[in-house]
This record gives sequence, C-alpha cells and structure tokens, in this order.
Amino acid sequence: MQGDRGYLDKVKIFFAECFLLGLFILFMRVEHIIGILILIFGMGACWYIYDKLENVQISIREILKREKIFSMILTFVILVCVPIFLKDSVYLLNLCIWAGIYVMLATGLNYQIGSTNIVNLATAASYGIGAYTSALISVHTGISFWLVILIAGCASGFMGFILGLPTLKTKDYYLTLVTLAFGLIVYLVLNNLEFTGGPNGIGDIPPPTIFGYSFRQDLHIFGMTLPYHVNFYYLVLFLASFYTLISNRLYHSRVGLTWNAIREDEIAAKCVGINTTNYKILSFVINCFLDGMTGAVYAHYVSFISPENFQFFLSVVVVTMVILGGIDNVFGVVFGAVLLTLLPEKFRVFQDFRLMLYGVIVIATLIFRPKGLFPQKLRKYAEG
Amino acid sequence: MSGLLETTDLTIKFGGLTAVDQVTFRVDQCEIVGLIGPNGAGKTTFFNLITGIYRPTSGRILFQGKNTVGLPTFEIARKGIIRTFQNLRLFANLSVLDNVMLGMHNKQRSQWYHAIFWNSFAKKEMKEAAEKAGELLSYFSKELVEDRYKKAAELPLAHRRRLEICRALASDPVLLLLDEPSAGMDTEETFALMEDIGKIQERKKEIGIVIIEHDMTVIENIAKRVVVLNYGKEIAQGSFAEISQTPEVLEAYLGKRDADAEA
Amino acid sequence: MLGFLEQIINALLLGCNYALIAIGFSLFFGALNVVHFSHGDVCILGSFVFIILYMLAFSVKLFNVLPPCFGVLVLIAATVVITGILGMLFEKVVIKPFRNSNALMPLVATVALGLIIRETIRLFYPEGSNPQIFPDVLPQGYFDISGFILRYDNLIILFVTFAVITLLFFFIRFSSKGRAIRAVSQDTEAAMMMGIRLDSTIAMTFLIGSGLGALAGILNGAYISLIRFDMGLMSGVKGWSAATIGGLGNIYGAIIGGFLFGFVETFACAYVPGGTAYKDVFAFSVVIFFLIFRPSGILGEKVYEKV
Repeated sequence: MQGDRGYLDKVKIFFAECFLLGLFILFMRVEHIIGILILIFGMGACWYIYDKLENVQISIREILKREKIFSMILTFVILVCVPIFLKDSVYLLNLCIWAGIYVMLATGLNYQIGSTNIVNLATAASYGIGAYTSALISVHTGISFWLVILIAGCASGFMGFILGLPTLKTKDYYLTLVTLAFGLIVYLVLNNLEFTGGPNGIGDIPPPTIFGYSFRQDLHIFGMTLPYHVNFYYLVLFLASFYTLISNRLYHSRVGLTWNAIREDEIAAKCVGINTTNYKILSFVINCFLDGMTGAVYAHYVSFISPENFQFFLSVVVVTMVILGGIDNVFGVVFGAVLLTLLPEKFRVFQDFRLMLYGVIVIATLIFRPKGLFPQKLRKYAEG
Repeated sequence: MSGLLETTDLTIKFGGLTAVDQVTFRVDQCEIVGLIGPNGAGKTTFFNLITGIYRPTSGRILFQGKNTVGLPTFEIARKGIIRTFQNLRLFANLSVLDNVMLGMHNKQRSQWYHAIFWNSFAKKEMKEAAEKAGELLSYFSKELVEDRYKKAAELPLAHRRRLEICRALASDPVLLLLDEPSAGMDTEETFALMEDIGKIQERKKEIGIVIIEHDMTVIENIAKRVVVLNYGKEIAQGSFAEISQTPEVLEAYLGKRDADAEA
Repeated sequence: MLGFLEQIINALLLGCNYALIAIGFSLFFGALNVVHFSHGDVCILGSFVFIILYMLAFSVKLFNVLPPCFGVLVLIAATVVITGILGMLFEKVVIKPFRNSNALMPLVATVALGLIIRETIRLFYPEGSNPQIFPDVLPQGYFDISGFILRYDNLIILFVTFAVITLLFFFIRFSSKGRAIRAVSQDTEAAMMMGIRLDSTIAMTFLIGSGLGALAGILNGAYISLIRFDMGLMSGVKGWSAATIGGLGNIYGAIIGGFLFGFVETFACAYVPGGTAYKDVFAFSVVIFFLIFRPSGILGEKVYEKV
C-alpha cells in the first residue's frame, strides 16, 4: 500500500510539473495580447482556488513533503531542460537569466524584510558593490571568476556589516533611512570616483571560464547548438537553487525562528536571552553577501556595468517582489521575483509604466493582502 | 541560603519623576515574594530595572552576588532572570510551540553555518527542542499541547498567560519575575494559575519567584513574604497578615479617611 | 571675506529649503508616528504644479489683469493650497489604511508612493525626464554693499521663509487647530478623548506640511532655476535627515536641523577640496553620527518604550 501511494504521488508530481513546464514555455512564447490575458486570467484563477481551499493546500503540501527529494530533483531536471525549448530565442533566455538574478536578490532581501522586519532599501548598493568589486578585480587581474565571486560577496558582506552597526542604537524607521541614504551615497561615489570609471563604468569584463571553457562560447551538446546565454542560465540556475536552499534551511533553523521572534516583539526576544543586535547584523551580512555574489554574476554576464544599473529604483523593485510574493515565504518570494520579471515583459507596450506599476502593486498589496500572494504558514516540527 | 537577588537603594528618575525610590529588596532561593502596591507604584518599573531594560539612576543590583547594572537585557536573561509581562508579550504570529522553543534559545547551539552547511545538526536540535517544549507544555496543560501548532494570538487570555509562563520556564530560570499573571482572569482561571505556580515549585525547588499582583487571594495563598510599594518607595514588608493591617498600606490602597476607618 | 559671507548666504538659503521640508517631516511624525518617505517628492510636485499654473496664468492672460507681483503671490498661494490638498489625499490613500498596523507598512507604502509621484511627473509632464526651467518670478537685481552682492531674490526667499515659520509658530501655539495638532502629537488617545477629531486634525497636519513643502519647492525652483522630476528623492532624504538631527516631532528642532544641514553642505562644498561631489556624503555622515550618538536629536526627548 505504502509503495503504491508513493508511486501514485510521484506520478501526480511528474504530471503536475510537466504541465507547469508547458504553461511556462507557453507563457514565454505567447505574443498576442489576447493569449497573454487568457493565460494570466487562468493563472489567477488557479491561485485563487489554491488560496481559498485549505484542503487543497494541505494535500499539496503533504504530497510534496512525502516526496520531497523526488520533487526537488524533478524540478531541477525540468529547469535544466528549459533552455532546450527556448534555444532559438536569445531574448527569452536572457529573460530567464534575469528572473534568476531577481530570485537571488529577492531571497536575500527576504531575510530582512520578511524574517526580521527590517526594511533595507540598499539592495542596489550591495548588488552594485559586488558587481564593481568583481569587475575591477577581473579586469585588472587574472584571478579566476570563481574566487572573484567570493571576494565580491565578502566586500558586500562587509558593507552589510557596516550598515548593520547602527542597529545597536537606532529604531526601525531610522534604520531604513540609513539604508536609503547609504544606497544614494554608494551611487554618488560610484558615479564620481575615477577609480570606478565614473559615469562611464567598467567595460570588457572577461567572462567566467571553467577548465578552459569560456562562458561566452556557444554550448554544443547532444547534437544541439545552444547560444552562450545558456551557460549563464545554468550558472544562475545553480546559484538561485542554492540561494533558495539556504533560505529554506535558515528559515527552519534556530536562526530563522529567532529572526521571527525579533520581528514579533524585540523586547520579549531580549528577555528570553536573544542577542537581537547580533541577529539583526547577521541578517544584514547574509543578505548583502549574497547580493554581492549576485552582482558579480551580473557583471560577468553583461560584461559592462555603470552606476546607472544600480539606482534606487532597483531596490524598490526587489522590495516589491518580496512583498507581493509573500513576506517570509521562500516559495512566495521566488514566485514574486519570477512573476514580476516576466509579467512586465509581456506588456512591453506599457514598458514606460513599469516602475509606476511596481509602486501601485506595493501599495495595493499592502492594503488588500499584506501577507502577499503566498502567506507564510506556521512551522511544523518532526516530533518523535 | 544566599540571597538570590539583592537590590540596594535602587533608584530611577525619569526627568522629574522618581519612579523607583531607594528600594532595598531581597529574594532568596525557594522563596516566593509578593510585590504589591497601587497602580503606578513602580512595580513594573522595578522589574524593568532588574531585567536591564532600564538603567538605574543610582543603587545596586546583585544577582547571585554579582553586579548586573549595565549589563544588556539579553545577558541578564542568560544569567537566569526571566520575566513575564503585565500586558503579555508573546510572539503573537508564531505558534504556541514556537513560543516555548524560543524560551529555550539559550540552551541551543546551532548557528547560521550549521543551518547552511551542517543541516542535519540544526534540524536535530530543533526536533529535540520541539519535543522538550511539548513535554513542558503537557506538564502544565493538555489543551496547550493540543493547540501547540495554533497561532499564539488565537488563544484565549488565560491560555496565553499560561503560555507566557511556559515560555519563561523553558529558559530554565533561576529567578522568575511574574508581572500580574492573573490580570483579566476569573476565579477559576486564577485558581488554575495558583496551581501552575505550585507546579513550578515542584518542578524546580530552588527557583526564586517575585510576583506582582493586584489579586490579593493569589498573594495570600502563595507569597511567603510581601513587599509593598507606593510612589516608588517601599512602605511595608512582612507576611500577608502583617502588611494587611499596616496603616500605611491601607492608606495607599484605600485613602486616608477610609484607612483610619479601617484601623 | 566676501566669499565667506556669500557662503553664509548660500548656507542660509539652503537651510531655508531644508527647514521647510523638515518641518513637514516633523509634523507628520509627531501626528502619526509615521515616516512619510514621499514628502520630498510632494515638494517637487509643488514646483511642477507652480510651473503648470504659471503657464495657465499666461494663457488666460492673468498678468495683464493683475500686477505681476500680486499675480505671483496668487500663483504661489494656489500652488500651496493645491499641493496641500494633494498631500492630504495621499495620506488618506497611503497612510491611513495602516494606522493600526505594523509600522513598516506605511513606510514601504510611502516609498512606493514617492516612486509613483516621480514616475507620474516623468511620464505625464511633457519632456518630463529632462530638467525643466523654473520661471523667474522673483525680482532680479541686487544691493551692492561695498562690493558685497546681496540679491533681491535671495533676500525674499529668506524673508518669506522666516515669515512663514513665524506664522506657523503663532498658529501652532495660539490657534485651536494648532493646539489640536500639538495634542494629537503628544498623545493621540488622550486627544481623541478630549473630543479632538483625529481625522480632520491629521488632514490639517498634512495640509500644512505639504503646503510648506510646496513653498520649499517653489523657493528652491526660483533659487536654482532648474527642477527635475527626481530631485524629490534626495530632498526628501535630506529633509528627513535634518528633521532627525533636530529631533523628530519637534518643529523648532526641524528648523535648527534644516539650517545645520544647509551649513554643513555648503561649507563642505566650498571649503573641502573636491567637496562638491561628496557634499552629500558629508551631510549624511553628520546624520549617521547623530543617529548613533544622539538618536533623539538635538531637541528631541528621550522616549522610553512602555514595557
């Protein structure tokens, strides 16, 4: 019986994921506005049903819990296969890479906004510092990308530490102001410093190489020729999966629980012996470190960066993704990041209104559905 | 037995207001001391001073013989001074079990690098903590165990107060400070509370407890010694029977004319 | 020496701008304990509203009817009122829904609102992304005091600012509405129990704060003759910093903070080599210094959280 159920679960998951893959490819491919609207309406309806029916949610969660390993591996395999369906469109591949980059930024920010209730508006700064650090090192030295990405992470992580220091003395809104001011300062410094190329930025950033194989080479595999973007897609996929895994692990550990305690009631947290300052600084450092690595990936992907890429609105965009997706919910945040990367592209006609739309989405979400599309559920523990 | 907690001439001034005025206080192991007084007498402020939330203007606080003035709140909690709050400070959007597990924060050792790189260790520790928390809850209330995955904010008041006490106990305190634990409870619930406090002593005999209360039934039944504050100053100390006859205490609660009538 | 005096004037003028914006922040924080991140953008919105009204005035030949000086005053008054009303509306939409929620929500919501305001200007104002010329509404010309140039428009800006601040002082101190505002900022619940209408008092607070901000935007526009849709972000952050230095919730503090900020920025710009680019960095360093060592600001009161 158990074996049968396991088999049945696996079949269900397999078909569900293939269906989602088909939906995803369809969504990426469809150009006609009617088609887009139908798809969006359909997805909205599915979300609505999922949201309203508790039983559906519970049974989906149960199945996924039972077949955790299988579903994770299957998802990864499917995501690996996505480029095959998109190999003729560099534009779509690029879009997927961007979705991945935003997933990386959003999962990082979630530690602060979601778990600890610290509104950090300096994502653009930590992302930018990582990008610039990696670019400067790569352009001026021959150090391998794989080391550079770690150094970039450390640089941003250090910035996060500096940013977090005022938490000792300052309250929430002041801290947000400090992050906002810091973001602006970083932009100003990058724009004015000769060392970083000023407004002209840094160009000719060499692509990563692995065993002599450059990421700017087209990929020849199984008889297919895939554009070089696929290399970066896999890099981003690997890192985004890793970031998501980390998010999940931190959430279910003592660290995640402690962050939530700080969010709920900082004084009570102190009174049970939690060193709230340390944990808040930790959230800054982890977030910024991960953002720094993301920045390094970005810099080596586009091979040219300038201060224009790291402006304040980018921080707001990532905030929007976290809030819309579901505060403190890793899946929600990933979903929010992907949705808000892909959806505006489908409405390219309204490209100009993109930023304004983000602003409206934030306000609407906060008023009507403050917990986001996928609210976080309470933790359950495996008990003996 | 040595004094668990001793304060000497403890004072705090907020601008022109002296909220706690040269209070010399002592509680020993295995003792339950009641702290009473009219509203605004400085009782909660006194707790805030002991737990490091406020820094005294002058005076000393010695815990197990060592000075605690100037230590941050979380350090004082780690030393074993744990409190509950007058208006309840639960982690409202977390589950009952989460709340108790957070009480065990200091007993756990897993850090962020365990979570990321050695996840099995982190998970095991959480699992063990969940089991211990469940066991602690069951010691106090079957209902709390059943509701352990419910959001703390959704519980009725008496259960929430009990939960706060459980969370306090999860920290394995040496000194427990209870701030009006029976506020808002009816007679039945108050009785259950007194039983709970009895259970606390059974479970850990050496624990010292200071309890702020307005409900004199509770004080009468469980406090060995009572200290009375008014306007920040200590006005009486002794057993319940003694202080309930002291004229200054009657005056503080009832006013002068009625106090005279009573006496 | 002359150069130094000139810098003093510059610092005072900059200080006027920041002070007027900072007052708004202090008012809002005092009334609602909320940080209005888009206040700076509302100020710039005021500048744009003024330009629009100015062009409208020309098309209806207002200046043929009224003497220019009077006409300008009418325009300024109209801008202040309109922006004040807009400010009130923004509060209703973006801050009121969160009155009883977690403090971080109105914070994020006002950040989003700021973005929306900036984008609206950029998209709907013709050539919105480019800098716009602000009309020369202040009299040109100057006093020449033995080589020291004192421009009329600078004097007017200083005069207007001080006049408005004085008026505000009297209003807050002596009028019943002003008392209501002070009561609400001291203790909202007690004020309500005394019969003060919370909603209309808050609306009034935003009307005044946003109106003052619009005035700041107009004076600033007149001073530097050029405005851009995205200036609001920086002015907002600076105004907020100034209010913080002075002590949030305290209007006098906001004024002191504003002028202090103006002085630090001007003198960093003038006397530190390469300072122009980094003047903002200096200014923010001062803020961070305050936040760490004296978070309640110069005139703020130490607030004890009720436990």
